[in-house]
Amino acid sequence: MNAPAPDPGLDPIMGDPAAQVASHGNPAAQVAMDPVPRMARPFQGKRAGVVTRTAAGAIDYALVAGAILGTYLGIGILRFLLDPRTLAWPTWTFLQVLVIGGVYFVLYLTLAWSFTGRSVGARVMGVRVVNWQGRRLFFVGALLRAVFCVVFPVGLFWCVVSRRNRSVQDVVLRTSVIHDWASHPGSSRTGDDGPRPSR
Amino acid sequence: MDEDRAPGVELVPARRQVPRLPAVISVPLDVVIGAVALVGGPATRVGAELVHVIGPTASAVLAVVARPPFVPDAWTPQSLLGALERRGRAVRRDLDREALAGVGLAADTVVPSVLDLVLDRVDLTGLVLSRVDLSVLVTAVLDELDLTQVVLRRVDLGKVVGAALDELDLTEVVLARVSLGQVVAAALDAVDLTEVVLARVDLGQVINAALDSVDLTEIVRSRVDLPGLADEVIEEVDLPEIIRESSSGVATDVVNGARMGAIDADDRISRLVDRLLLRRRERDVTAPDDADAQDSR
Repeated sequence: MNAPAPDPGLDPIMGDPAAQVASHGNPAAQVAMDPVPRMARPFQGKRAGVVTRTAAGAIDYALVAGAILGTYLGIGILRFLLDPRTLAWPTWTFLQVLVIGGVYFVLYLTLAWSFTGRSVGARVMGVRVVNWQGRRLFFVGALLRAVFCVVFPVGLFWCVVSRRNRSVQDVVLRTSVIHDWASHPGSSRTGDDGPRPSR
Repeated sequence: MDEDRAPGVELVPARRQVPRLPAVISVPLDVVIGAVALVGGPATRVGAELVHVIGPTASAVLAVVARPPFVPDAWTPQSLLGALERRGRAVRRDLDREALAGVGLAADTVVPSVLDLVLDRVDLTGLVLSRVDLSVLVTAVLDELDLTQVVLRRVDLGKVVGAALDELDLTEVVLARVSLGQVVAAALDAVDLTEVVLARVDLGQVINAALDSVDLTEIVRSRVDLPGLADEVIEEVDLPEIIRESSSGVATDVVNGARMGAIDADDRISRLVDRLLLRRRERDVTAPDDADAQDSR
């Protein structure tokens, strides 16, 4: 499974005070005040490796698993409310769980990559998914990449042997997963959290 | 010559004419002088010859007559003549003294009146101007005198300067006659202004007075590019790093640590795999960026 990708915007997790200070100053000050820690600056914009992407993906898997569990509990509670005399939890087959999880995952990743460029896991790990131009994915591109990642998750591990740290999905769809710790648009290398630039 | 004469100066003739004697006197006088000159020359030569011939004998005779032998000294003609001489000299001195006293008295009485009469009739200024080389005279006098000392001793400089200052519009004079730029430059060259100010000026008081009279805040706001200054300071001190280090929460530190740990692990795994695959070149992990895309368009 490929690593999800990051998103700038005010990061609720990383909520960097320095970035907030910079965002209230003049434009020159915003450029000058790089919120990225000095030790991490050399890696910004470079393709992330397998550990970072796997960690981000694991976080997203956990979120989707939580969503599946929530769905399961929600359905059970709803059925109990509709017929309080019998408490019967839904019985899902493994295939059903995979399908529900797959759908959730595709929807989640598509929306995350096309709107912010990164999922929650990518935001935590400070990475972002960009297209061949270094920009945020379009909806169709995000949808294709999400489906590809869900159907062929092991494609992620191609980045271990790839000379350019690219997964199978990256190679096929000409995308990249890059380090981008910046948590506000002004300091983002790709500047992708705002509206998509018109072509 | 007349053009050089100073106006109002009546020149005295350079040479006075010798008054001429009337012919009644001058002609006989000239005859007598001519006769004397005619006779006097040979007579003088004859007299000189006689003195030369008779002189030694006459001297010996006179010596014997003046001091005859066998006559006491007190009675010799020489002694008598000497006594007469001394008496005569004393009498002459007395007469001289009295005469001088009389002449002095007469001079005291007569000379001022005469001098007044003379000066009344003489244009002394014109005379001096025409007959005296004043430049030489003044130069000689100035050479002789220590004028500075004379002025210091004889002149009340305070009064002189006060009167001069009362008469003059000093400001106008200075502005017209003085090159103030050169004066100030020379003064500043000659003076260690910093030393003078440090020694003579109460700088603390001056600064306090200046600060009291100035709205420093307003001046700074109007004159200083505060945003620019703030940017420079922020750039120098890496404010984001300081703020991050001082105010970031534990969660941020944990996340940053996790990210850096993951990056480090990525690097190690990449090196290991590259070594296993016998790769010599480092990986190209540079991703396309928006600027590259715009350049390629």
